[in-house]
Amino acid sequence: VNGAYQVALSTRLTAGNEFAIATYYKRNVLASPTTVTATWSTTGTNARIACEEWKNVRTDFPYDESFPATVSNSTANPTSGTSRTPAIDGSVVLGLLGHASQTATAGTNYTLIDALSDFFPEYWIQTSKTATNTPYTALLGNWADTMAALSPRSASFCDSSAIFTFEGGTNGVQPTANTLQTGTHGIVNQPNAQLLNTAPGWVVTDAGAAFAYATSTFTLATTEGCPYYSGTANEAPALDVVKTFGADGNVALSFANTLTDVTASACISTDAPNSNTGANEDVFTLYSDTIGAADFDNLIISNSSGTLTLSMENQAGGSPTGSPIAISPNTLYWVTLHYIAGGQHQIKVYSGCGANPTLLGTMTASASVAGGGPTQKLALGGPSPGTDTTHIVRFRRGVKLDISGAGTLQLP
Amino acid sequence: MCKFRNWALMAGLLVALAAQGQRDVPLLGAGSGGSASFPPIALGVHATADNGAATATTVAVNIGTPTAGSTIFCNLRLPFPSADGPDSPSRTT
Repeated sequence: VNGAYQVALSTRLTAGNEFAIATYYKRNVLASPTTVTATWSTTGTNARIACEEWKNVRTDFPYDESFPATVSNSTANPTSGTSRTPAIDGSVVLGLLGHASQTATAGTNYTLIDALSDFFPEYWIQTSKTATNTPYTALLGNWADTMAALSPRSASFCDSSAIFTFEGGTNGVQPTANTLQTGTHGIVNQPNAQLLNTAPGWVVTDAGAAFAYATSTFTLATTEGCPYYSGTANEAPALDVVKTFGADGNVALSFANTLTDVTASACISTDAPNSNTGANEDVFTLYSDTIGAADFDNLIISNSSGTLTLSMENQAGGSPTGSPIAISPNTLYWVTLHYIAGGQHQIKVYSGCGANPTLLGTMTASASVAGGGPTQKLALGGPSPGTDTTHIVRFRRGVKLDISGAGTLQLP
Repeated sequence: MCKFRNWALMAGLLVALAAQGQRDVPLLGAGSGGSASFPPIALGVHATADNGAATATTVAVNIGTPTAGSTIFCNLRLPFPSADGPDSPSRTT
């Protein structure tokens, strides 16, 4: 066994519980004889697997995180719901139909890869990106239809599966889920997905005017050329996280799938204005709160006798290694989080947000509770209420995220 | 931030790659976002395997030898024999 696959989508039939279907992928493979083995925990019959190679797709982030959808139903002629459009021209759209009782044929524009009963992988290589919903022709019966897309190969730089630019915000105005969504690239709400967990998307929890968009001039140091986003995030405002006594909140993005390995990175500044006093305050967090044991990888800011520090907090009882990192007012810091469910959590702090920033320190901790849950959310600001005194941190442009499971360490 | 909720763990599913060298996640060198010319996406080797009536907790398929740099995409149908089956299969490595 030389490596694991990344989960793409999973679902099951909602009526009858006949079976579950799921899709997985592994990118940038070597040219060697390949056997793929799936293992699960509950003995059963009629398991089936179908794998195919897709050539000339991106070697770094081939899976289009903005596209997937899943629907279960029992009507004739299944689809994956409301049509969606791949991020980029030249993508291949992949459909999968699990049907409890009928055979199916591919929908218009699609070609079946094989026609085994109950299992109908189909594809459409789109020269120009086109809205679609992986249709099939089939009679009535319980089914689940999923769709995914892979992006064509490119030499352009991309180090994230999603980027948040904060575009859509207005200086001095609090963010909303909609404005945050406007600045979200590469991962979006999936209106077609039948989710077993918390619905994905942004939620603003603001217990006291703790957030507002602000003007800013910072841009990413390296131009991104991802399928879902190109540029340096220079069209957007920043986001101020302003904490006053008793005022605590956050903006948090829930993921559609439960994820085992996630990284997130951001540029923060301490100049907005610098009136940081008092106890610890949450700044930037990846965490699990409703599946498995709660756990988190949390960057906190604190002020001890006038000295500002950044440090790591995980679930109660955890003991992070690495010393708190002294920081200065009116300064930019690039920070990265790495959350592995039930495994290592890590935070790195760099001086500056330009190219090749200097690493100031690394803090790590094991999952602080047995069976630490999967990564469910990314939060900017405090994920839970507190009574801390005033802290102000500004998130500059270009928060980066990797939900592909690769654990990519992003830099500015 | 402190949270103490306990929730049932999800059933696990491991999809593993046997007999194949695997690269770590590649990070392309910093670039300008320029576009090189590549051939269009194409379907390569593929295969399907079915356990049929056999009772098992694994299923495997040999797809042959792919081209370096490709993505292997797998569709999986799992048995769902009881309420404690994999209601949301996911990789748990």
